[in-house]
Amino acid sequence: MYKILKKFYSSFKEYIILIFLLLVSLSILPLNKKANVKTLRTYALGNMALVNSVISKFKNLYSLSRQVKQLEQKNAELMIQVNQLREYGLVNSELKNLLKLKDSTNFPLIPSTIVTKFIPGREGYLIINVGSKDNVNIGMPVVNESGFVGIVTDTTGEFSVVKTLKSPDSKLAVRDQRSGVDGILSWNGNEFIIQNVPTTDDVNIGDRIVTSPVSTISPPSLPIGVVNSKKTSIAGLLTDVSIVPFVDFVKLRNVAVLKIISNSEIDHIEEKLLKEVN
Amino acid sequence: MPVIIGIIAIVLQLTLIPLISFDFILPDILLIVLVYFTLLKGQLFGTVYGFILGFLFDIFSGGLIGSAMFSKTLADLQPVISLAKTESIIT
Repeated sequence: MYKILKKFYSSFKEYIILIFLLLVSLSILPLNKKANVKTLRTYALGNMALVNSVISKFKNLYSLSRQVKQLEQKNAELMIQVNQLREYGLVNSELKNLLKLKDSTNFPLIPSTIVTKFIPGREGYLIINVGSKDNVNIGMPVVNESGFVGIVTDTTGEFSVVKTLKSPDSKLAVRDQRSGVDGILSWNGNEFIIQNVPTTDDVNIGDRIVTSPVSTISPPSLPIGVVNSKKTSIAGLLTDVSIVPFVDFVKLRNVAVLKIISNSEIDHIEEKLLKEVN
Repeated sequence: MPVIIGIIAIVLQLTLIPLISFDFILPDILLIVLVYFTLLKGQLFGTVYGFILGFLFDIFSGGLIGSAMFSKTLADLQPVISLAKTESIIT
């Protein structure tokens, strides 16, 4: 019997020891609740925590730098997004104001967006994205929600050139809305000026200036700006009136073309009168 | 010597290896050491070695004492059997 057992043990000792050790492992498992074992585990945990705290410092350094990079990237993305939203907000408010203008005016409006404000050699001109295909013709006034912007001077199929008030060769008949005094508004490269207004004419600082009914290129009463200052010439007979425009030509993005053209009959009579005078 | 290497493996397993974990999946270098020494020194050594390293691992990790002991003791059985099977197929 002993020999058989010995032979059995020598043949299967790996498995016998394996089963024995597995049983020992399983029998230890319930001992985890005992106070002594808990103390041992707590002590072991304390030591491991100490080692881990040293390592985690390096780990945190690595993970923090990675986190900073991720946050920087996120920050850049959000900045672009905020910028876009701000842009949309501005465009939205402009378009809303244009819609209000469209509702309040009797003239049909052709909404458009400015393609470029910089045309080499043509200061004060801009190009808009509507053209003859959209029924835009030369001579049509261009406005935005703040007031008069300029006149269409050239058109192609899909684009038009607009001569704004800020063009040096732009001259526009304007009127003081309060007193009804007429004058010619021009851009001197620095400010808008109504030149040679008689000092006896009733023009005060703060008066609203609008397009004049005598103008053949724009409908009357389109807002232009307000009187900012007056400079009397040396002789004391004439005054140069400085105007601050309602339209911000720097921020200009969306405009609308007023679908009217100057009355050719009036032009014809004016030409005839001029010929008679000459 | 195997015990010292085993202890180093336990320390590495508990400290540095989690740094290269991916979604809590991490390599078990303790098992690699166990399999290495089991293949080198035999099944019986491997079983006892796994039992001891499992115990040390439970102590150091602060986990349930007995759990790693059981799994490491049992884990050493497989490579030897696989090796024996491979050898029998080859011969």
